[in-house]
Amino acid sequence: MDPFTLEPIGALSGHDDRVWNVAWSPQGDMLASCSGDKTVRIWSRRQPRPSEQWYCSAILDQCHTRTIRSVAWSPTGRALATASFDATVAVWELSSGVWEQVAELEGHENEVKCVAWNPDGRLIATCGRDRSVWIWESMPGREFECVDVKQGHSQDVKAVTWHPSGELLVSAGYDDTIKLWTYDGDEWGCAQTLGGTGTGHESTVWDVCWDPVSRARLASCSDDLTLRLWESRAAPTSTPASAPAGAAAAGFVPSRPDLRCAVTLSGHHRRTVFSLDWAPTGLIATGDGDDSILAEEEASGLLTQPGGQWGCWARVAKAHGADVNCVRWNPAEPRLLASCSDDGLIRLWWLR
Amino acid sequence: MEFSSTIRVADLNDYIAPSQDCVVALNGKLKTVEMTEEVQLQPRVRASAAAAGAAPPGSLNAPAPGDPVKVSLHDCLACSGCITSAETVLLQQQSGDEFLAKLADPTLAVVVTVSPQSRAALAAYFGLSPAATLARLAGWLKGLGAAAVWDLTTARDLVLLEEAAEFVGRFRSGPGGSGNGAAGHLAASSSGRPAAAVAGAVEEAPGPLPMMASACPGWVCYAEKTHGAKVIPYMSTTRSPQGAMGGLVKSLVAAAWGVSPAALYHVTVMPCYDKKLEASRDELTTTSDEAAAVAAGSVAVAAAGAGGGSDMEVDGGEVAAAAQDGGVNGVSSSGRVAEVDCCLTTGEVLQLLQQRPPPGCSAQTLLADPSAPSVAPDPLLPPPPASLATSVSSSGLALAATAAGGVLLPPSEDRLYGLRDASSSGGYSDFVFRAAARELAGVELPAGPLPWRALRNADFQELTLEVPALGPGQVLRFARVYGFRNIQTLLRQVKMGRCAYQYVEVMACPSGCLNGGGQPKPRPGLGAGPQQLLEQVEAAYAHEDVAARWPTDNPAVALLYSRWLGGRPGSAAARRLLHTSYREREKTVNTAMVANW
Repeated sequence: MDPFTLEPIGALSGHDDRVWNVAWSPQGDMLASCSGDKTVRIWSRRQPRPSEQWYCSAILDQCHTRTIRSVAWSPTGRALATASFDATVAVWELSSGVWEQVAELEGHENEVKCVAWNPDGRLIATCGRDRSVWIWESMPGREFECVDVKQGHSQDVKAVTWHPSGELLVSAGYDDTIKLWTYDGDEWGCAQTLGGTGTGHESTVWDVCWDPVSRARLASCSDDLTLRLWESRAAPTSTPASAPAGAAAAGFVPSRPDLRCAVTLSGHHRRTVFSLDWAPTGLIATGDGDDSILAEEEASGLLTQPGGQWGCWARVAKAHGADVNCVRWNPAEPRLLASCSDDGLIRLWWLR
Repeated sequence: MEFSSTIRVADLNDYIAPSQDCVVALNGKLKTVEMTEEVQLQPRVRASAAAAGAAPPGSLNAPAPGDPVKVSLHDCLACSGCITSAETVLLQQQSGDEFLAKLADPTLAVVVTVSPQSRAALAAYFGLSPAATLARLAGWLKGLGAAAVWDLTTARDLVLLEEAAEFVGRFRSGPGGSGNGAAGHLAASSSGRPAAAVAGAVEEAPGPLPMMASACPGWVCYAEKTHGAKVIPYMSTTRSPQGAMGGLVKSLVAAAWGVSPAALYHVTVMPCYDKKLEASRDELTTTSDEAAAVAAGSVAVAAAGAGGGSDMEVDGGEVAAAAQDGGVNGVSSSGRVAEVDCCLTTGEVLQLLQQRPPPGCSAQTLLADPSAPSVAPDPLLPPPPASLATSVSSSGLALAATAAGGVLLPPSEDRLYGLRDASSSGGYSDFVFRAAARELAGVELPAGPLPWRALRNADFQELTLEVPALGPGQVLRFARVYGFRNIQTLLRQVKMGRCAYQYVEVMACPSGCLNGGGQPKPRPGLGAGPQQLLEQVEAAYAHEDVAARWPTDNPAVALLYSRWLGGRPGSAAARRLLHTSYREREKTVNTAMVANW
């Protein structure tokens, strides 16, 4: 009997093709989704809870010529970046209620797989099938300059994400590794590589995400059907989620990462885990190729076994009619979860 | 591999879905055939000699019968749509082993040109002065059987003058110059033959600003392949020093020695692997006829100066094709001969030194050994080597390289010369800036390093000069842009029409050519890390051994212009030999074929 339930509270339809990615605005009041139909849809809520009524408030189209694979909000909540298989990244701004494309970032050789805005809104990271990670800087006048282009991954890079401090960039991909990048004042360099030598994931790493509370643990999900949690070597071996955030954070310095795999969560998924997101509640939501959504969390309380005790505390089989591509917790309402799928739908869930 | 990151972003070994076509198949010929989803194995198609072995094994739609599909090595490398990795083929053809094999070939005269960056790297490696390094390198090469060893500086001097003239021409022809001067700089044909090969080529309309240096093959390959017609018009048509030297060697030296271009095997020593790519360009090839035309010169001086005893007669403008054929060596099935047959990196030369140490030298010290033989590098038109002297035939051209001719030759140099206080990647931006200041504004800038200012990072620098003579608020603004990320920024500015520069020295490698991928790596255990080694090489490059000399003060340059290059930079003859063209490299059928998304 699951202690938690993810209750479906709505489905958003409208996209004509599979939905690849969803992203909540920083204030949690809007949801952006992007799709193989080459559009981005912005969903807004008519009224606050409990009666969720979301509607499509904008469609961003006429821009990309191929699938839009990823969408990311700027920390201001007034700009979006979209990454597309047409090898470009578009930047959009919202002014007077209208979304307008203000810039196009070219440079990737082929499909761009992910885009992420850094916490202060100054930098955008992108990655793609050309195995490179690009970092762009936003300049005055809606101008962008290329700060760096990082080679290092030996295969398609699937995901990039920033550490909340902005000093560390994480990339992960088809070469089974996770790379951590830091800035030395002149250029970005790979400070650490996780995995790839038999010590990490055994297959493509699809998504990575930081623990929003301690900011010292990294979670990753993979085609090898596992989740891994990475911690600083200086952290004590068992750090229950209930322990003060400082304990896990004690050893971790973003600009000098020294992560190791602390926990491997296996046996919960039967297919590739495509996406994960870590909520401040401590729950990690995952979406997989078995059309399921799970919520996993470390057991809190009195049991302090080595490595903590992680378990799957909610499962929705057949959450969608096809692969679940992305799951994201709402930043303002940590019990609200959005998911999207190859079935072309976006579903909203409430955690009970 | 050590190709610069600029051309490495495009993956040559990418997983490619079935039915992706080879780039050449798309050049209009085979589009009518329906694409299918399955891989089809085709019999190997005939390919040009230069690309033997590089024929892709599959996924070519069947060519029409009797219609051979040719894949040139350069096309292969520029494309990324095929399963084979053409890098390995290129590296086999232009390798140390190939060099040694050619040295042993009695039908060929092997000649070597050494770049100043390679010279500096070897000087730093062996702890010698640049002059000693070059002399000992020449001694060793001659000992192996090379017929001539040259320094690249004269070719670079020519190229700098051409580049400056080209810039001034562009600047003058357009106010601010950011117009659509696309005409004239795209190659006329897709076959890759030099557009200006025909005698009497029409002077093309100058291109738009910013003008971008095109001496770096990593940059050129990237621009042609990834940006194509959007960027090519900005690139200067002036050849790189390697390209210019290739042209000179295969025309003037070949004629002076009375041999056909194919009988010379021209090797260059360069700081990077990308130069191998440049050497394999179709645009940098020649034929016996074209070479002879260049050697005939724009002035019928040869007729006036033919010395007694020479049986080489020449007629006003007539050119007799060189009789001697170099055989199959180096001649592709189209009859064109590469102007640079083989480019070796500094690192590969070092390996060769270890493989074949100079006589009497230990394997540990090599060139640093005091008993290393030492020989001065050759002047541009040396007398033919003994091995060829007997085969001098009636080639019809009296370049009178024989001393008996009594005609002035480019003199031997008693020491090394170069530009001082200029970038170590050729000094383009410095030289063109000074020339522009002088020609356009009448300002003679003082000697010494120009005040470059680093912007975003050390590899993005700019230099400005107010030139009231050109109008109120007029500023000369040049940039040096090195490295892939900065090239991205520059291209963005250009595409958005926001580029403030009139001239940009673009180089693919951060820190420039001294840091090329083919330079020797730090020796393990010796303590010097990469940064320190680079500093040592920079010091060797700027060594006082190398005397400062303005390109116009190089007597060889003056002689070459007056006799063969039309008298001044930018002349028709100079354009023929010292300029080249670029062309867009089509990518394969777009990857929308791969899946329906």
